[in-house]
Amino acid sequence: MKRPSVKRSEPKMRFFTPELYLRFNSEVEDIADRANDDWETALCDYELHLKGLRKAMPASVSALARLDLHDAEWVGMDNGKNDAAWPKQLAIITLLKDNILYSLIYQLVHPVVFSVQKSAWPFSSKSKHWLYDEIDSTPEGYLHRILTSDGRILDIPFRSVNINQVRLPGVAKRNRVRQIA
Amino acid sequence: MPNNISSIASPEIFAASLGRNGAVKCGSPLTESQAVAFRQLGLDVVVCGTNLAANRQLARKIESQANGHVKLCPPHKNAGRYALPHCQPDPRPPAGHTFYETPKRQAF
Repeated sequence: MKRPSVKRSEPKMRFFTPELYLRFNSEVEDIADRANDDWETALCDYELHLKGLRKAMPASVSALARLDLHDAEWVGMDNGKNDAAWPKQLAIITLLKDNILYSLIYQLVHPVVFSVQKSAWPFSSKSKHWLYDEIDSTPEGYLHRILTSDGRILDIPFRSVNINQVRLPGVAKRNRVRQIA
Repeated sequence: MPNNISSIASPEIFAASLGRNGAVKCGSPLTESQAVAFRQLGLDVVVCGTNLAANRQLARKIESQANGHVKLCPPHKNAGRYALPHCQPDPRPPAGHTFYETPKRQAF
């Protein structure tokens, strides 16, 4: 895979932005009320946006766009950053939600990019989890943007995606799986 | 279509369970202390009422009394058409949510 010759811009959410999320959490009632309305608008805008993409979307990307991963525990991401033998075109995100272990396996167009962590993010960076995500199209494929609970945004430019789901048998075994992942 | 109970005049608290398409179903009515206990156990509760700010304030109060630091999460599109915003501990555990009604989203 070619290294990009142009520096990639800082990842930004288009609909479910960190700024909107922070306003939604404001303790000033007027600000929070407006953010509630703005969020409803963002939901409608995103639905319209997805509607425009759906006809051309492969089934796997459409399935990704329908997944509800809000609050899924971020078990880990493998993208070969520290592994020279890792296939450069591959990234895998592992998540745990409602006793189901999800593996999102992306065939990349370019490397994934994380945004810089904002010092003003007021929420805990412990127990990192998935907050919100968006899917967009690009000339080379698709872009999955993910806002995580530590306030960072992950851009995943991909050509295709596979979604694996495994229902875990129970809590004790789940802890063992977490250690392996 | 489930019955909508958002005609209640002031915020009230109920035990909650989740239904299809993100629907939040009201169970037994709870006092504030009971709701706090529910949340400490990781169970879901919902605040119902016609005033968004009042619902949100009460939901935040319940969650913070139960679990300390709180964050509010609006519903994602994929959570279902009936999904409600909610308060949750920051960070988890415990599991569960304090849901609250909005002008456009009600419990059942």
